[in-house]
Amino acid sequence: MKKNKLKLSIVFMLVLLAIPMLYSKFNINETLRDDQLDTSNEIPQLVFSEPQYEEAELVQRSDVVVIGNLKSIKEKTVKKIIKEPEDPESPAAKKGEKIKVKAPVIIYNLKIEEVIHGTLTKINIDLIIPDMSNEFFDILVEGNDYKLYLVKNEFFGNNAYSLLSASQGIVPVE
Amino acid sequence: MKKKRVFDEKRISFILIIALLVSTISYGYVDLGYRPPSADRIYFIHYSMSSTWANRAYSAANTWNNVNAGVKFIKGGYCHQEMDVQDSYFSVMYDSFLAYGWPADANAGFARFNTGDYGDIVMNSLRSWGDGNSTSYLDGQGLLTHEFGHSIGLGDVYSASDVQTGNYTDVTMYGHSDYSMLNSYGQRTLHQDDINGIRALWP
Repeated sequence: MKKNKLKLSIVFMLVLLAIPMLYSKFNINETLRDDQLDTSNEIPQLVFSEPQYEEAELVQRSDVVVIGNLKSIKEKTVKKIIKEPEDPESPAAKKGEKIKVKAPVIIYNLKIEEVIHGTLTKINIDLIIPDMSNEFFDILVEGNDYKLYLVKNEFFGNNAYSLLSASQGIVPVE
Repeated sequence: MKKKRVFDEKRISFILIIALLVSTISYGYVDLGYRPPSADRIYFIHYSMSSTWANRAYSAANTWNNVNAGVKFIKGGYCHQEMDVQDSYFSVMYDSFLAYGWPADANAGFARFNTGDYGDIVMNSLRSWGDGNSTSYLDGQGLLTHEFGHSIGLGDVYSASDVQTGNYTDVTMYGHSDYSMLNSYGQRTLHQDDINGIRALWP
């Protein structure tokens, strides 16, 4: 009798475990159809495929490597850039047309504290960061110091710099 | 005479244990946490892309279509309007990342601005591109296949814990590619974990 009770208890426990696990595995409550999509969660909105560099290559590929203080947000903007198409075989290039591109950016005022690589003539530069959620940019906080691997970005002016890499371009300095 | 029971405790326990084991095998994919507004993903080739790039995009989209999951990429032809990552069109573009303020050495990006936006794919013209397996360029079709994966909600795979069926650097959704890694050409072909991912997100 005791043995049967033990067996029944084990079966009961297995049933209790199996039901929720199977339920979640086969997404019984989550059929991602148009009328049931959950688009409310905060998620990275900008994702990249990137190379991974050793430190020496990171430095070599950067125009400047600096330690700087993220003083303030100078501007949040969507700048329309009119430029030549990059693909010479494209319909736009063949017609001799220029293209227009627009993307939201945050322009930070970066105060340079140390130049590790490259040359800078000004003590303050514009740091161009996409104004879109991304796990690597989201760590930036005004007032904090960062080591930054930067590339000159003339689309945003002659004192503007962008990151070399999203995942490796920003290193917080304690 | 004692009647033999078809469903005795031993058999039920055995079935339940098998069910538990099956349920612990997780899908090997990363969920970006985003779903586009429709399972019909109409994409446009921006007119700054050549037919070579357009054909790479068509092949990449067809790679996902061939899985026969609950989402489909549909050709929308060439688009001529300005490239605005905040609009609701799903465009594929080839351009300098610096014009967008994006990292100069990233290979490619997928951007979604608003909740429910279809997003845009931009291939970075500051990188070297080609067709095939080479240490001097990235395979355009391979990286486009990766980016189309983002556009249906698959995230980047960065570690062995993200996959179930092999080496994580072999999957199409692996987040790193470089000339020296020789992995972009391999990204043309979906790995079992990529297939599991699209099927789980779009049953």
